[in-house]
Amino acid sequence: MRRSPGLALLLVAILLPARAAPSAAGADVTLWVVQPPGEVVAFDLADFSRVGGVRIPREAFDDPGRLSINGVGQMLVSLDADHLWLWDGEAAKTLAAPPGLPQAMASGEPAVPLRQWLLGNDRRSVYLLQRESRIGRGAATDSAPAILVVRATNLTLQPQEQIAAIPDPPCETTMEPDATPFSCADPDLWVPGGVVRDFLLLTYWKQDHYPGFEDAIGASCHSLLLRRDAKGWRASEPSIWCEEPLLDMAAGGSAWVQAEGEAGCCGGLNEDSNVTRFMNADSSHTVFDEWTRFHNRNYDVSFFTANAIISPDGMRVAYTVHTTAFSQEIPVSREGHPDTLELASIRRSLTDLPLVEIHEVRPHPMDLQRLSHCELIGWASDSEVIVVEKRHVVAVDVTTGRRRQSGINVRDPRDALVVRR
Amino acid sequence: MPWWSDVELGGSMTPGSRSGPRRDCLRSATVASLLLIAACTPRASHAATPDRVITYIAQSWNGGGGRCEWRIFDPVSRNDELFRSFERGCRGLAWDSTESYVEYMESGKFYRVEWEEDAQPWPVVQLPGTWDLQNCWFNPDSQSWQASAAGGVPRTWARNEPYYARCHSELWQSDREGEHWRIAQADTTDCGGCWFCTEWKIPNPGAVRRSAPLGLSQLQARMAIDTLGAQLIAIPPPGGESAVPYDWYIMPLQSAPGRGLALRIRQHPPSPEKTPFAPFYLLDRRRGTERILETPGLARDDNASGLRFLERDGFLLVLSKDPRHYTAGKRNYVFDLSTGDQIFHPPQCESVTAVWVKRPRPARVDVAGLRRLRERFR
Repeated sequence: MRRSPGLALLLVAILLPARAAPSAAGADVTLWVVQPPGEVVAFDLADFSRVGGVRIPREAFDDPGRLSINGVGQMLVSLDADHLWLWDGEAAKTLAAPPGLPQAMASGEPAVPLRQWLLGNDRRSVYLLQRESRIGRGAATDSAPAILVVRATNLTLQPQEQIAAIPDPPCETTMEPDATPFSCADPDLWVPGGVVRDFLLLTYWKQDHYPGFEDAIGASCHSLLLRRDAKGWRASEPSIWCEEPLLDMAAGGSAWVQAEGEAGCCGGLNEDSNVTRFMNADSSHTVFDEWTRFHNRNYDVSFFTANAIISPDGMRVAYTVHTTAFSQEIPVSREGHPDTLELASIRRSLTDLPLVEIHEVRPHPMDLQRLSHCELIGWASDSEVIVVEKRHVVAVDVTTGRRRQSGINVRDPRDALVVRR
Repeated sequence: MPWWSDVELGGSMTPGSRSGPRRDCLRSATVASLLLIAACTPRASHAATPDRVITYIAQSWNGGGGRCEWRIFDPVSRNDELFRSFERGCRGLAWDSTESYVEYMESGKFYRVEWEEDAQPWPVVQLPGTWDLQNCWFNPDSQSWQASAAGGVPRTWARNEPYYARCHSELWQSDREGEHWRIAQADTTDCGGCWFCTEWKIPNPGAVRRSAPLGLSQLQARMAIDTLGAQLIAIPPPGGESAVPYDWYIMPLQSAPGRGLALRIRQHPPSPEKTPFAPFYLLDRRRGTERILETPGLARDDNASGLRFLERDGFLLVLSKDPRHYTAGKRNYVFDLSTGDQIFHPPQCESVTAVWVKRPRPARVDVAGLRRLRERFR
């Protein structure tokens, strides 16, 4: 049978992956990729054209997780508690905590000053959380009463505004009664992508007291959502289960994605089903349920969401599924029983990992795409995700599955970052 | 009395004692030598921005980890900076022919790093999981990655006997993406009992094509005394030295006019091998001085087998195997030829392998890209 040239051209147009096909991604979204010989390079998501690159410190090149980039192209790398590297859009500077900043109290063993830096998205702010002495400068010792302070500074790290201050008394906890107590986890100031826009989430631990059981030692985790509106910063206690990892949060802290993982009971890897939920103040929607999705209840191998990102319009959630399995050996779980069909299904699922899944949460929950051997990087637009597939950066339309190859290679997914203005 | 102070004309060249007719011969040889030195030596010394620096691998075997530091020593500024460090050693380190980038293997990966200040390495390929890899390269003919592996086939070990009975060579080959490695060729040869398997030999070498790399061994080969291109000129011994049992020679310095390096060399023609012996002298005809050069760790009359010299921009790199260790423990010296000072002090370690290489480029700044970035985020 002879094919017409027109039909052949049409087939080619459909089947060939388009490298520079038009995209809904606008100039307000930038793909940043760590590249040799030691820079992070901006690419225009519309056609993956190179915009320009900035040299970054070796610490950030080796561990891109330490690099934060805001929507206006500024960058921050925490070098240590007292020093950070900042690209302010014009020049790179290594900054030290200025003398005008209260001293941070040391904690841990060895004692390290508790100080955490975050980059603002307003071109002019850096935020920090630090543990300070309540009784003034110069008395920052382990024994002094402490407070946790969240501050905004300018780009030279001069304090501009105190956003929150909460008491931070000593805190210890135990895993089991009669066990040796240990220090509570350090507080954490979190925002998606490490860039402060209109909210901050502070997580900290408080000692619990049990009337009638004075010898009992325990502590509980608390969250404080700090939101900025026209009148300034306001604090509220969100309904977030703060012991579980928060994967993403929408603007204003209005919705979030949270993973509920293993309780760590009894040494097993799969004692509970890992669940990931899309939540807001009023509702909760499960986007990932391990045992339902992978039918692996009888085996000691776990599937979990390593990351999750809400689409810009808040209607979809994309996430990457990883596993605890590192070898072919998959033992039966503590309360499970052998099931050859289940085991075969698990083995097939493992061959797809890492796996990106895209799930629509509004208006009608539904699965949109499953992308085998991919890691999620971010959303280019409401309908297109950026993934890394075998070290290649690829854009995928979540409704049609159409792919755009970028021609950009990475060492691993942490080298790539999608940032919105 | 310095050896040049009583120069006269006449006679023929025969190194030896300073008395009688031989002395006359020596004098004439000396004059000829000095004329030759003067003719051969350019007038430049310590160029403003020399294009060469010394790079070296300092390796320690403590704990068996083979930790090594890759450092860059600039003899002009005397800065000695860490370029990279490796916990488990690195292999196959080689520059491209233009010395624009370097490639090496570390921890199961093949890396490339631009030969540029502040450049960071980039993993290019995951290597096959075999421990005896030597090198890795991309073959444009087969559009595949290839790697050479060589090692010994153990024999029943007995004290003071060689470790190996045979040596094996393997050519590994992957796909274009550096995945799905397999052994494409292999061969085993009888080495008759050996301590090392250095030769890599496969049945069909035509399956291999790679651009000529500049590895440490290639760069060091440039330093071999026979490949210097420098003329060794017989001279009488410096003051206080004896001409017995080995003759003294002077090697005119390329970048230090009127100066030369004097040393004893043993030769057994027709063997081309030349074995130098410590000590070494820096002779300066213009100033009429001679200075013995400090060579810590290399004592008088030590057989400096494998001694290599390479002079660049008024500095002389001397590389010597430690005569007390066969496999490791190389001694390296860098002499400032304007003073004779030994200026190279690498960190304490079991082995240092140093070579001259092109000075790393200054870190590139993406000026146009930065302009576009500023416009985008204005």
